[in-house]
Amino acid sequence: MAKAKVSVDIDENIEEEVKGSVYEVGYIIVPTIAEENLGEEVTLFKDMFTEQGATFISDEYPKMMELAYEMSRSIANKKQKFSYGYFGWVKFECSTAQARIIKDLLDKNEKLVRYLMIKTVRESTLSPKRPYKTEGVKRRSTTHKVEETGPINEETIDKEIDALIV
Amino acid sequence: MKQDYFSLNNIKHIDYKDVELLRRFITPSARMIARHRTDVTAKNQRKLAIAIKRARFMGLLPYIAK
Repeated sequence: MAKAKVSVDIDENIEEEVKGSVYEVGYIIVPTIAEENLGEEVTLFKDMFTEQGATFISDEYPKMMELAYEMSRSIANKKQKFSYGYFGWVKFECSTAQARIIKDLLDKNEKLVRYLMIKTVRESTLSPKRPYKTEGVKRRSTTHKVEETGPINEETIDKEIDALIV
Repeated sequence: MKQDYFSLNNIKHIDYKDVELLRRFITPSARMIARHRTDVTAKNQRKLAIAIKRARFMGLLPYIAK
C-alpha cells in the first residue's frame, strides 16, 4: 500500500519535471547602454532564454528608473557604481535543469547590474490599479488638544460680543 | 474588527514589483510595519515581508530612508 503511494509521488515529480515550472526574472540593465541600443540588448537577452528552451508567458520592456540606493557591480574586474538602471522583467516556463543553466548565464552577463529569479505562478501577480479603498495600516488615533485659555474675564467677553455685533 | 487588506481586495499573490502597494506597509524610514499595526493575517504578512525584501534587493524600495 505504502509502495503504491510512493510510486504515485514519484510519477507526480516526473510529470512536474517534464512540464516545468513558471519562473520570473526581474533584471536591471546597466544605464550606460543608449536608449537606441536597448531594444537590441533586450532581444539578445530574450534569445538567451529561448535558446535554453524556455517558453515565454509575459514580460515588460525595461524602463529607465532611479534606484532606491546605489548598487555596485564589478564589470571586467572593475567595480562600478550605479544609481540608475533599466528595470524590466520576463516570465517564462522551463524545467529546473534549464532554469539552472539560465541562472548561470545570468550570473555571467555583464550587461546586468542585478537580477532576481523567482518561482511564480502563470497568472498575473500584479494587483490591478484600484482607487484608494482602505489604508493598509491603521493610523494611531490622535487626541485633539483642547486649547488652553486663561481665566475668563467678563469685560473681554462683552467687548468681543460688541465687536461681533458691530 | 481586524480586516486583512489583501483578503479585502482579493489579492492572492503579493508581487515585489507592486511598489505602490508595498509602500503602504513600510514606515517613512522604510522599515516594515509590524503585524499588529498592519492587521494583515500571519500568512499574508509573511508574503508581504518576502515581497518587500525582494523589492529592496532590486532597488525598488530602500533599505533605510532618512
